[in-house]
Amino acid sequence: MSLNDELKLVHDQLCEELEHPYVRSILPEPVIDRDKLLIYYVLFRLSRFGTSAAECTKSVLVAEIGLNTHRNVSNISMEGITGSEATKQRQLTVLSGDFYSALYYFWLARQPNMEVIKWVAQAIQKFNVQQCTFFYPASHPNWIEMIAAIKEIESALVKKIAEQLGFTQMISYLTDFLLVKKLIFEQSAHGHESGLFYRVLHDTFDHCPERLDKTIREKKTQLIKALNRPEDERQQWRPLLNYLRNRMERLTESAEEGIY
Amino acid sequence: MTLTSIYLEQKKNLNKIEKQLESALKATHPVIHEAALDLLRAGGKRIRPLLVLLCAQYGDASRKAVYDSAVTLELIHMASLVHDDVVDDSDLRRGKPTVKAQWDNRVAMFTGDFIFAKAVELIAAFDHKEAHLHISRIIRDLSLGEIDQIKELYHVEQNLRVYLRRIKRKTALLLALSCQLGALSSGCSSDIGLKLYYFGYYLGMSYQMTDDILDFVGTEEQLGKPAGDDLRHGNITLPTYFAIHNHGLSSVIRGVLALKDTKATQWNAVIQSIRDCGAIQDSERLSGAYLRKAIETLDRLPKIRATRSLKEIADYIGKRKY
Repeated sequence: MSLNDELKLVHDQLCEELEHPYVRSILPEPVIDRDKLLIYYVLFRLSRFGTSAAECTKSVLVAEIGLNTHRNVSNISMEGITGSEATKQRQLTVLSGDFYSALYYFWLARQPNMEVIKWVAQAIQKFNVQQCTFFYPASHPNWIEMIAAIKEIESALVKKIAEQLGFTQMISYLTDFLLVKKLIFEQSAHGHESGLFYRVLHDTFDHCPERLDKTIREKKTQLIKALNRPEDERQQWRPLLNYLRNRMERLTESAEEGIY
Repeated sequence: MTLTSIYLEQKKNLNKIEKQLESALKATHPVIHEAALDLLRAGGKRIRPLLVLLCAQYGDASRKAVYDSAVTLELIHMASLVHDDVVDDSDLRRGKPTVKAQWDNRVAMFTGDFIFAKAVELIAAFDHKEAHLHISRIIRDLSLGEIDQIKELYHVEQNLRVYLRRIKRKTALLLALSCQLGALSSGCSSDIGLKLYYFGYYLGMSYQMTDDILDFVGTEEQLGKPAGDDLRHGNITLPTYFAIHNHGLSSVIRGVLALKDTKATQWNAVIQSIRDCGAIQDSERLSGAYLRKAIETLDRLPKIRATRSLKEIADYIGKRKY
């Protein structure tokens, strides 16, 4: 089976296991980040961790889906939607997020090596602390700090898994990639529900669109440069690094064409 | 032996758990830290840690895993309360502002997720595969139960099985887990653990039925909310179920739930009808039956002091008035 087939299998299994007919009748399908799916799968597969890479990948992804679902709770109420349907949406957003969060532990508890449970739980704590740093900064934050907080949030789980599996040399590529991807997404989605980070940046800083555009360009250039550096010890990582580079190019092109 | 004496007897251990809870809730961001500590300070009966401590007496109650289990279960309970307040849009809990009222929904979500992750991290250190299979299944079922509760709102025709499954997931499972985990974390056999699980399960079912009865018969002062609050929110609990199915109040209840702007007098009349029709007595009988099952389960356990304490807790649940 090719890597693509394996990834598709994991993706389809995850879709199936997240299915809840009643929740789906009220809320949209949860978004599965295919880039993260690939990243986790490759990390777990190369680690020879002794537990199914597919199960670990599904578990970490479902934990992220739970956290992202919960982040939308305030978003919905802030939109000023009222009435019983809005109430039901809010309630089910909370409860489906709880359900997804419960699933990571449920799945990992059924694996021979349960170490990943602790890693995910620790990363989730950090994720939430960083979310508070972004949404409720202690003092007037500067642009760099806010962008750093987005990076920490977006890659909290990936970073933790890479660290624990001993792949620290990969962390900067992965976290930079996830940051640029997130910023492109926020830039393209601003004004919509999912552009939540953009709205906070916009409300906090003058000339936000220009600054964000500049940050994306700088970060992207740095990342592509780093990904192109030929280093022997990165041979086993070359396919993943190539994927990140190609993906980054495609994301940028799509964003420029306004189709991200 | 009274409930007060049981709490007094466990005071030292419960204080230790309280300190561990405080330590577990430390966060590096002041908002999460404050929100979590406010929750802790709001107090509560700590019934889950108490059950863990008592059930651990069937084995070696001094083990670290016993305390970790007690703290974990209370953290899971706390995390669910923070999120429940967002679900119910509640501004007060135990007379104090909820996290979502004090800050906002988003802080409540972050705080709940932080606390839940802390609970999982803590219990992950417990090297007991069987325990993790139980805990993780029950946590998943708790969340499914909450979704079911929303799904079943205003469904007047729901059957008894649906109600029982809902309260099992809402309340009984976590009490059952508290008892079972107390046993397993103290090194007891799976058999003792299972018996204690069923004790906690029957106790939890009866506890929730009593809660549902008190929601109708309690005063606003005792309840901290108007009587019949569940029904006012479309939640069909045991007294309403019996009023519909055993006492011919189906059309009256259906009528009041169908109204868009039900007046206070209309609600009060329906709630009074449910109180008077015999549904409360039917509910008490069913609650009592579950309680007897809980007590019968204790008969199959070793006759130690903890068994008497658990019996006392069961008796308290049967007699409690608020």
